[in-house]
Amino acid sequence: MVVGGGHAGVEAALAARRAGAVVTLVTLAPDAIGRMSCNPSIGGLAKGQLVREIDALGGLMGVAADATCMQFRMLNTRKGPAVQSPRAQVDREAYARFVRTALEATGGIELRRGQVAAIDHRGGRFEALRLTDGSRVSGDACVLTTGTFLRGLMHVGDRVSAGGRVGEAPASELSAALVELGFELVRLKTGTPPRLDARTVDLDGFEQVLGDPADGRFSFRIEPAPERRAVPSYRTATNARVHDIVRSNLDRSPYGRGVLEGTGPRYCPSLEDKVARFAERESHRVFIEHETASGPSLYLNGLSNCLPQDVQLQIVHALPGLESARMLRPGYAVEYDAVPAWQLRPTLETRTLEGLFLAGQINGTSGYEEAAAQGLMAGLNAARRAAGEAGVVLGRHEAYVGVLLDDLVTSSPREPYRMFTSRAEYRLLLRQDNAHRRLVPRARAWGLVTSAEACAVAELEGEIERLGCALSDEQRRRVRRGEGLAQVIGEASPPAVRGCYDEALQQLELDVRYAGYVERQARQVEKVAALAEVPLAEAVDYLAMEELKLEARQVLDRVRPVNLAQASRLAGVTASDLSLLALRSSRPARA
Amino acid sequence: MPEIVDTIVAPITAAGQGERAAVRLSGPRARAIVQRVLTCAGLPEPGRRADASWQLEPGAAIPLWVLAWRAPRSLTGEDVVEIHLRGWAPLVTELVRRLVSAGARPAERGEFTRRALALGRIDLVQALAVGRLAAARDVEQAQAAAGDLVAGLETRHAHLRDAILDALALIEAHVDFEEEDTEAVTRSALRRALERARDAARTLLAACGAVAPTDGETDVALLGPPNAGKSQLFLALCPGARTTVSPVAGTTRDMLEARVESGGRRYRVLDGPGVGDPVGDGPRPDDEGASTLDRRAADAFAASVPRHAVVLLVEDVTAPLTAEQRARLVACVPGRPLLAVRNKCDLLADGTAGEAARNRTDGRTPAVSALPGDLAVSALAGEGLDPLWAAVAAAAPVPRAPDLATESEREAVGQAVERLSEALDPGGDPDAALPVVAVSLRDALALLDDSRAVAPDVHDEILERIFATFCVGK
Repeated sequence: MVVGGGHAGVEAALAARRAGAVVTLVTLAPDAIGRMSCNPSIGGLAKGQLVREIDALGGLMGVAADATCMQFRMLNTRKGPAVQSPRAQVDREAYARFVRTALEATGGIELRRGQVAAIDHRGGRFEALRLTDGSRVSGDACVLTTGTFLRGLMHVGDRVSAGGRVGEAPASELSAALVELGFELVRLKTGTPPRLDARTVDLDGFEQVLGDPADGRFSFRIEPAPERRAVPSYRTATNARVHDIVRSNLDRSPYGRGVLEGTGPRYCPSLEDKVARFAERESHRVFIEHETASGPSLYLNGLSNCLPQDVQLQIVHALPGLESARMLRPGYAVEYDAVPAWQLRPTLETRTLEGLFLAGQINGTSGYEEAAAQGLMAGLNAARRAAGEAGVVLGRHEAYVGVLLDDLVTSSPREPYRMFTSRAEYRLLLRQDNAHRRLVPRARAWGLVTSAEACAVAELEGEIERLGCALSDEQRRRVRRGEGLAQVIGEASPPAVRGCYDEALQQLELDVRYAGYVERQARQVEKVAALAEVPLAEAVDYLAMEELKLEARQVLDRVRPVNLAQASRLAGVTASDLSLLALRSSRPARA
Repeated sequence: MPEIVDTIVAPITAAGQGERAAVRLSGPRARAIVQRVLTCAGLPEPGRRADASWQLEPGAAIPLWVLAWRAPRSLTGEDVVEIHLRGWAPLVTELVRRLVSAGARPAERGEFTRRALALGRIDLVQALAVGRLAAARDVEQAQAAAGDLVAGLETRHAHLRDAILDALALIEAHVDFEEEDTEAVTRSALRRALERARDAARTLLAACGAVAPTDGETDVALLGPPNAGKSQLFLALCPGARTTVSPVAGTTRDMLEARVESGGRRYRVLDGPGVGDPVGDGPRPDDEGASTLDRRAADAFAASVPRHAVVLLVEDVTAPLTAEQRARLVACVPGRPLLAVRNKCDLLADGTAGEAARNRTDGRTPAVSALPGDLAVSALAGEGLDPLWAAVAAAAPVPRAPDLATESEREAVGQAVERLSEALDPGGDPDAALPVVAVSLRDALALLDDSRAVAPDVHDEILERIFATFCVGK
């Protein structure tokens, strides 16, 4: 059972279904399934890696983005393969349609309109959802993906309205139900920029930004090549006049007046923040992006703000080329309740209620990709819980998805959590180009991908191994020094399997090039893996463990790590504390 | 879980004090590690003591005793082994170092107690009492053992960490925010940051080396007027040293030195010619030239007394110095710890000297003008020497504490220097190499941070710097 039809909810429903569960998806608005609330793009730095991983784990996001792509780019191409990330501008209407269709085409997923009023439980186990219309939906497990809708509050200037997205009502009763269950909630906020009417803007006057000419895509699956429409974006920048308008109206923004309770992300600052905090800057970049391939709506990437509507219009008109633009809707900030994820297990199941899972923005993240990744893992684990199987997690060395979930359940972010490549200590291993090699075998074991998909990856591995065995030490040295593998082996090893020869070459080249560093990282992985073997009981009274330093006791008490590896990553827990924990766990508790 | 729970090791006797020293290991591999480092027939049963030997270098075996306890019936509740040896600081340090390279981890302050508490061997009240004692000792140690050196190390450590984080923030801003506002990241800025980090690491490494325990020898210099019996005292302090003792004042014209061990510490005792007017009524060379020569020798002697030496101001108790004479002598050796020694107390008729000699805390005799803590000895009769050594030990700066930078810390910093050099020259295209440079930097950081897996707070520290420096975001 899944509550919510956003990116997390959709992946949760699909993953649970693939893992064998029969699914009911409860949503406030079936029409809004798969809707992109903010920017019309999928992927980006670190997020692109997440999309590839979601795809390798049988998720929908990559396929949907490929099918509705308006422009595709590989970012960071100059900075080494480990940090390259794909990103696509997608048609947000086509995307939502594609997702809805895919969901409906999957047998065993029932869509149901409704709002959750309460959560029924018995003996510490989830039992059923009660909806506001009085009906009761029971199931073995439930994934909540409420996004920004828990007590959602939208701000435009001094106008405040209840809702999680423009024109959509908030979910307030569920918030109260969670508090009643004993969850601690925090207030977070995020924002979105104004949308303009393309028919009132002369786009020819702007510098164009185009995608890569080559045919890139997210999904590793052999699908018909997506029909890619080369829809450009446009580039402009703020100027002194814009900054003046912002400065003189700061007192009319909820940011300036300090009325927002929620904490916003620093990596996605509002225009107010940019002007106030970086006063010395004369200009900030703005990208104008089409929201759909043929519709009039334009997204002003870089102008997120919640100034009053009239001020927003002045700002837009102060930008050259936008003097007569019509605003379709103003930017706004939205505040919402989130459940700090330290209240969850690494499987995203709540510690409070067996069978209840949380995924997406409710866990304090931001971004479609972060939400989808959590949805997928929560859906999978919910299905396994329902079937009486053990929960599964991915390690930090296996996937960005693993880094994401581990970070979430062990830290208390002060701002919405976004993925960065710098969060992954094993970044050289977690490349966007090898997501299927890393994850398809796992996904196959969990029933998330077909055997044909798994075979394709096995075939690739075979070809890589065959080519690798034929390499001499001297050839490896040349590759490490930066020569291309194709050039190094020349005609020596002709392809055995034509279909994946080029990819095998490319993978082997990177494997060889990074071998020294990867080996070092692998040793670290082993060390951490040994620590991960030592489980820590959940009901330990850490505060009473006088042998630990006070700081360590407090952080352990709050986070309650599931094993020593997690404990070792907590700030304030030292090597000697770890040994003491290990000693403790090997010995029955004192009376 | 032998791989998970470390086996810890530390000296359990204070550095440089006591005839014998002991080193304790606690943990699952304690027994195995000891057997790797020492030669012994087997570890003894609890309550027994076994003889063992330690091959310090080929042909040089150090005899020791070993005691062992089995978990859980031990001090900490784990397997515990204690090694007892001569209380000579460099030897103890070297033994700990070898045990560490055989797989033990240097214990943190109070870690044995914390383990005992964890395994229920002692209760909290007991642990707190131990903690208070340890804290009191720490304060003493920190004061004596050049607290400024420790502070200097910490500052340099922080400085290096800072430099690495700065370089990482530059790279990560560039890598994670390509389309954002990070143009300020230029190749030369990164190069400067990397060089700053490498230099900071080298400085830290040098600083670790500087505080490495050296031979731990303390200098003791004898100062006094001719014929006060300095040479006699020298011989008494350093049995076996060769010198000529003569009743003729001024017999000692050259600097003599001898090495001796006492109370677990090593000393170099220096004896030079008498300084100032001879005292007593013994015969003496009475020409101007010889006297001038004397003074020059005395000056040379004073100049050659090391800065940290403990100076023993020796006087003949039967011919006490005037306040003025004392002041002149003291002025020769400014800034050194000074102990007044009243020699020849066996010559005092009333026998008070003998009693005084047995009581070092009350060495003062009212009849004589005294410096605080005057010590009465009889070099000839060998009386009062133990209190004298005790006073010297108390007055001398403690030899540098061996745990300012442990061997493993030095090794970690050394490896960090290697990683930082590697980061400066990753080879290939500089932009494409950024991710591997970041790996080298993170490795260096992890080495510094207690060789733990890179913690998320490190990621946060990096992001923190990026957000503070750049305006990033859509």
